This record gives sequence, structure tokens and C-alpha cells, in this order.
Amino acid sequence: MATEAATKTVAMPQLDFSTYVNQFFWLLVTLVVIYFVVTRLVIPRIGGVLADRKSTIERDIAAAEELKQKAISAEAAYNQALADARSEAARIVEAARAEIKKDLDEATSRADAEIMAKSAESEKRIAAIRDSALESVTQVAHETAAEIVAVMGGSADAEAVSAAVAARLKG
Amino acid sequence: MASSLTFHPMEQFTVSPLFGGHEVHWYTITNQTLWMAIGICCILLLLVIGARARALVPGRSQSAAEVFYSFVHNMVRDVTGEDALPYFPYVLTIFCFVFFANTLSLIPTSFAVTSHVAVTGLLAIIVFLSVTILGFVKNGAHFLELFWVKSAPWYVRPALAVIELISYFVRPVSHSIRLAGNMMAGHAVMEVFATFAALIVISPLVGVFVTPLSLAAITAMYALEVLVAVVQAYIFTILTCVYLKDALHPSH
Amino acid sequence: MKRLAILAMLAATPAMAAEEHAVPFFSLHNPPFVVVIAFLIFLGIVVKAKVPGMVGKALDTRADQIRKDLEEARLIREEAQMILASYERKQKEVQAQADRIVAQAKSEAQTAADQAKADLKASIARRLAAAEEQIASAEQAAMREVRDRAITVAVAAAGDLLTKQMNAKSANALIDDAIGQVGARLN
Repeated sequence: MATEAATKTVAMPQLDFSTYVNQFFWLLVTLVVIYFVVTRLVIPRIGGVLADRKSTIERDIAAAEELKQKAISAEAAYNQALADARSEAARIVEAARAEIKKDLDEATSRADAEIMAKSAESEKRIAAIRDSALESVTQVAHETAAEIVAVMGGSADAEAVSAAVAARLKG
Repeated sequence: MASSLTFHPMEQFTVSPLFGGHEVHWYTITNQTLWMAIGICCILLLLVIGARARALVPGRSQSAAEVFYSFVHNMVRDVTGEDALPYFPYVLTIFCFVFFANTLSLIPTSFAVTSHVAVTGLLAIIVFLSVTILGFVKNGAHFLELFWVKSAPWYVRPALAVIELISYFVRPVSHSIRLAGNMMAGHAVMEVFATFAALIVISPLVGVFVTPLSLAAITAMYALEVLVAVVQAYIFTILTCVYLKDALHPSH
Repeated sequence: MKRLAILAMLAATPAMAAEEHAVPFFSLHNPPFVVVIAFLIFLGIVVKAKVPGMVGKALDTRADQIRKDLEEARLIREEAQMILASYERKQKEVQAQADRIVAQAKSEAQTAADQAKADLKASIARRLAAAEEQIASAEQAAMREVRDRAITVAVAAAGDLLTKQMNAKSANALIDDAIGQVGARLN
């Protein structure tokens, strides 16, 4: 047995070509098994976890980005709404001012008309006064003159007084 | 009583049937077969069972599996490029096999699968053939531009082409011998050192110095061999990636 | 060292075969066994150097980093969500705010209009009053003018008459005085 083992023991077992076919066969079997383990189990499992992790982070970041965009547009909408409200308010104030001005103008013109009417009326009254002036002047002057003459001790009949007054009125 | 040291550093590499008999047929289950199977079991343990939690925040075993996986993934991406990621499963298969064969061989009395040129040679030939075929399938005749160094002056290009062609065919040889040689040498040297440990029995006076020294040397060798096992697995795989890159982007 | 002693004992056992092919496993003559010892020493050193702990810590650090990254991404998202929520709340409130602004503008406009109307009324009343006063004084002036004229005419006429009647009497100065008295009294 010892001699047999000795003959079988080559100086370098690596160069014992009688074992090569066996080694090739089992190496190929092993490689195929490892390949199937790797592709069926290892890559789906570990690759899946790594991809999950990466996609979780990326999804979070992407969601954050999207939310940020939404926030920006929400802010813009908010500011827009405020600006709209302000311009609406300005418009209302402007409209109110126009309304007031219109009212003012109307009231002013009405007042003007009233004043004009009143002054016209007074003009008429003054004219009437002036129209009635001659008559009343004649009458008053007549009475007054007669009284004066009487006070002064003159005698003056109505006729003479009237004549004198008429003469003075003309003069 | 053995009165002298007898050195059989290569005996450990003998491929022998596991279940008796002496003939090694093509189907015989040998010690090598056993250790390849143990390698598969380790792959299952680390990369399948270890990662079974599939947690978003990994535990230790899952994290280890992820580090292992990402290491190869990043290697393929960084060395070969994004377009080589479809070949990642093949590269991972090769790395898994070589890595576990190398590291398992560190266990004493185990069998160093990758110390056999039959194994590393066939692996290298598989890589060589698939890369060459892939190069022609992907690039057609343009794959030959790999041997036509356009950056060189025109008159040296033919000479360079011959050199490039030779170096291309030498690739599988260096690829396989580098790995097998490294693994074989380490184990053989350890075995030689281990033989000296018997001196304490033969000659206690000499042995009292030599035996501890031999043990210390083997211990130190272990530190080195762990490094060699990992680095050689890495080199074998990264060279595969480099060859793959040449196949995908042959023009210099 | 203790282990070595045991080894030495084992190696010295007489049962050990002289034939090298029959070397028992637990023997220093058996290199694989020596390698086992060295391997155990190596493992002891590795454990003593706390390499497994370091590896475990590195793996834990990695897990922590992953947890931190996930947490950070989640926080970024939640923060964005909060900002959006606050804007949406503000947006909901903006209708009320806008309504308030408009309502305030309306009421201010109303107040201003009322004030303006009141002012206008007062000013119109003032103008009317002024105009009426002016008219009244104009009428009065007209009336006084008429009366003055009547008196002037009367005095002059009386003068004429008295002059005619008292020519001979030559008491003009007296008459004139009297006339002046009468005029003053009438006025």
C-alpha cells in the first residue's frame, strides 16, 4: 500500500493530468451552481435591498423637491391672492371716490342752480322794488314834503306839493 | 521513530477520492470536490442566509453581505464602466468562487482548490474565451483594433501588433499561474516550516529553538496568507474586469 | 505553552509509528497538525487584537450611516411637507384675509363718502346762506335807496315850495336850518 501510494504521489499533484478531467468537471459544476445561487438568490436579495435603499432615499429627495415646488407655487398663489385683494380694494376705493365726486358735482351744480334761482328771484324783487320806486317815491315825497311845509309854517295844498315833487323828480 | 525530517510539502495538494478507492474518474467525488462544495455552502451562508433579513437598515450579517456584494459591484463599475454591469453576475460568480476557495484553503487540513492550475487554468480559459467571443460579438472586426496601437508611430505598429497579440494569448496563462502559484507557494512554505517543528522530538537541544520558531513563522505566514488569499481573489477578478473592458472598448 | 507541553507529550508517545506513512495526526511529525497549532495561535492573536470587535463595529458604523442617510432623506421630505402645509394653511386663510381687506376698503370708502357728503351739505348750506344774505342786503339797499331818494325829493320839493312862499320874508337862513332839522329827524 505504501509503495502504491508512493507511485501515486507525483512530485507536483498539480501536474497529475489524470485528475484534470475530474477537476474540470467539478469546477464547472461548482461554477454553474454558484452562478445560479448568485443570479437567483444573491443578486435579487442584496441588489434588491441596495436598490430599495437607494430608491427610498431618492424618492424622499424627489418628494421633497416636488413638495418644495408645490410650496413655491402655493406661496405664489398666496401672494397673488393678497395682491388681488389689494388691487380689488384699490379699485373699490377708486370707484367710491368717483361716486363721491359724481355726487359732489351733482350736489354742487344743484346748489349752484338753487343759488342762481334765488339770486334771479331777488333780482326780480329788486327790479320790482325799483319799478315801484317812482310811485312810492312820489307818494312818500308828497307826504313828507307836505309835512315839512306844514312844520315850517308854510301853507301848501296838495296840488302845489304834487307839482313841486313832480318837478324835483324830473329834475 | 522518525529520526530525520522528511519533507512532503506538496502532498497536501494531492487530489484523492473522498470515499475510498484510488482511481480518480471524471465523476469521482474527491477532497477537492468537497472543498468546492463547502465553498458553495459558505456563499449561501454569507450572501443568502446572512442577507435574508432584507432590512432597509441592515444588521451585521446583512451589512457584511452588502459590503461583499458592493465591493464587486463597484469594481465592475469603476474598472469596466456602467455598460459592463450586465456582466456583473459572471464577475460576482468568479469572485465568489476564487475568494471562498482561497480563504477556505487557509483552514488547516483543508484542500487548496485554487492552488491547482487545472482549476485556475480552466477559469482563465473560460474568461479568455468568453471575453474574446464577446469582443467579436460586440465590435466585430473592430475588436482587432485592440492589437493596433493607433497612438504609436505607424512604422512600429506592426511590431506592436505582434507583441500585443502574443501578450493577449499569454493573458490566460499569467492569469491562472499567478493565482495557483501564489496559493500553492504559501501552503507549501507553511508545510515546510511545519516539518521543522518535529525537531524538538528528534533533537531537543536544537528543537527548543527551532520548534517555537517554526510555529511563529507559520503564524506569521498566516497573517500574510490571509492577505494573499484576499488580494489574489481581488487581482483575479479585477483582471477579469480589465479583459472585459478591452472586449467592450477595444480601441486604444 | 501549555499546549506545547501536551504536544510534546503526545509526540513522545511510544505508540507513534516509526513508519512515516503511519504518523498519527496528533504528532509534531505530522505537519498538518503543526499548522493547526499555528492556526489556533493566529486565531488567538486575531481575537486578542479585537479584530472581530473592530469588524463588528465597522459593520455597525455602516448600518448607522445607512440609518442616518435614510433618516436625513426622510427629514428633508418631512420638512418640505411642513413648509408646504404651512403655505397651504396660509392659502386657506388668504381668502378671509382678502375679504377683510376688501371689506375694510369698502367701509373706508363708505366713511369717506359720508364725510364728503356731510362736508358738502355744510358748504352748500353756507353758500346758500351767504347768497341769501347777499340778496337780502341787496334788497334792503334797494329799498333804502328808494326811501333816500323820496326824502331828498321831498326835502327839495318842500324847499321849493317854501322858497316860493317866503320869498319876501327873506328868512332863508332860518328855513334852511329848519329843513336841516327836519331832514335829520326823518332820517
